[in-house]
Parts: sequence; C-alpha cells; structure tokens
Amino acid sequence: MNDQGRVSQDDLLCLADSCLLLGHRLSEWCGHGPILEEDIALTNCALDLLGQCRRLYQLVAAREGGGQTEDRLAYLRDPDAFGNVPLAALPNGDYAQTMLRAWMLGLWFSVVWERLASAADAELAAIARDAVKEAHGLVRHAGGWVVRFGDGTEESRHRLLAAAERLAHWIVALEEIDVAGIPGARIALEVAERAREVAERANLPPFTAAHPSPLDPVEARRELLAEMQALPRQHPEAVW
Amino acid sequence: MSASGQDWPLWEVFIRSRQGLDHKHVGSLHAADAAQAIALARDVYTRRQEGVSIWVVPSAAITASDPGQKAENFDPMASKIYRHPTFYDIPDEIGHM
Repeated sequence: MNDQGRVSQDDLLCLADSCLLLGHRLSEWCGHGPILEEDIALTNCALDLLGQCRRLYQLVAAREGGGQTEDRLAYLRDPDAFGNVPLAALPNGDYAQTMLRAWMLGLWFSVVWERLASAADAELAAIARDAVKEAHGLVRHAGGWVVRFGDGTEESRHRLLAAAERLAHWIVALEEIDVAGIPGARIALEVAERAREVAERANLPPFTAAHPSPLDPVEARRELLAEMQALPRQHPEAVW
Repeated sequence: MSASGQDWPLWEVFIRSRQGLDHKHVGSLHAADAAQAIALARDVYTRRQEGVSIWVVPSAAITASDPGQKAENFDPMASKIYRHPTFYDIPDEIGHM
C-alpha cells in the first residue's frame, strides 16, 4: 500500500471529531425546531455532518487496523482524546448562537474541504469532494439565519450580538488550528473573506478575542460525550 | 413546535422530477420569504433525489374554484354526451390524439 501523501491520523480525527460534535449539537434541535420545515432542514444538516464523520472514522479505522472500528472511535474513545476544533463542542444556546456557530464552522469546513478535494491523499480527497457541497449548504442555511437575526427585530439583533460575544473567543481561536498541512491563519483569513457579505448584511461587527468566553469547550465536550457514549459503554454488545 | 410558524406565509411547492417535463404540485410549507421557501422545499421535498427544479408560489396568489359550486361547474358535462366526442373514428394516419 502506498502511504505517500497521506494525511496524519490526528488530522483525520480532528476533522471527524469536529463533524461528529457539530452534527450532534445540531441534532439536539431535532424535534425542538422553531417550525417543522426548519426542524427538517437543520436535521438534514446534522445528518450530512454525521455522514462525513462516519466516512472519516472508517478511513481512520481502516488505516489503523487491529480491529479498530468507526463505532469504537466515536463511542469508546476518552473524551479528552478528541481532537475537534473547540467551537464544534460548545453548547447550542439559543437559535442565534446555534446558527452563528454553524455558519462559522460551515465556512471553516468549506475552506478545508475545498483545499483537501485536491489533496495527494486520494481517499481523503474523495470524502472532501462530497463534503464540500454539504458544507456550502450549511453555510447557506445558517448564514441566511444570521442575516435574518442581525437585520430582523430588536430582539433578534440583540440575541445575535449576545451570541457573537459568547462565541467570539472561540471563533478567533480557529486561526490557531492547522489542519492537514493547511495553516490555521490561512484558513481563518479565507473564512473572514467569505463571511464578509453576510456579516455586512447582518451588520455584524468583527469578532474580537477581547471578549473572554463564558463557554468551556472541554467541559461541553465531556458532557456531550458522556451522554452519547453512555449506552455503548453500558451495553457494549447492543445493536440496532 | 411553537405556533410561531403560523405567522409565516404559506407557499405551494412544485417539483420537476428527473424524467418529468413539467413541474408538479407536491405540497406546501411555511417560509418567511420566497428564497427561504425554495431552501426549505429542497429539504422537505427533494432530499431523496425526487427533483431537479423547484418552483414556489405564495398560496395566497392562487385563486381556486369554489367547492360549493362544484355541481354547477362540473356536473352538467357528463349528461351532454355531445361534449365528449368519443364516437368519432380517428383515421389511423392521425395516430394518437
């Protein structure tokens, strides 16, 4: 087998874990959406992310060998061993916070997948080429809400700005995360560029790291995974 | 679900299927505006590869016949067989009409 050009397992897990956690967060709205149509749309986005993380976990498991499986990676790994971008693990908060985070991560994934679509790692490139369309869909959906909130009522605007204040630290922190040889600062620059039009229409001020965030991504991830992993840990033989 | 969706206007959704030539009515949904209606229609009605094109029309823009006038609108035709030219022989050269 040719190992040339392969992206590291850690990089694959960063992508897979980020997809899994963001997908799980979005799925938490399933059945609680503001209206039926939006509930279906957001759950579709969650399913897209779940599909992406499955393919990435399958790739990691196949390359690792030794009986590793996608389920073991998702359900039986120590929460502190997850390598996701912190923004993906944060709690949903209200709909403005959910959409602002989804929009930002959608942009981040768009940049990463577009770049990886032509990566030397052919198996990863194939996943990236499929994922890029879904990432664009997430950006369109969540970005549409960011504009509506920012340019909507006094209440919606207040909610969006409050969400921006809570998330800003972790949005800015994206620039520190290098993925598969792509420097984080470069991804962040591209994300900011693509965010401009929506941010202008939503009259959203630039994100600044000056705000300390009340949200703790490590604690949030532990709580999320404690719930998600409880069943497979208690019933390792459980099947659908 | 909250009742807030009731504040959003209703849209009728038409989908053109992969093989079809015309857009067919598939249902309706609530959305704040036309662009959102298209986006939501894509999620509600085309996620299983049903379509290649979507139209949305504000439900309020549709003028419908009055169900109360069903009898006077549609019943008389059946009793007037001369309205239904079924007993003409169509020459073979014409083919399907």
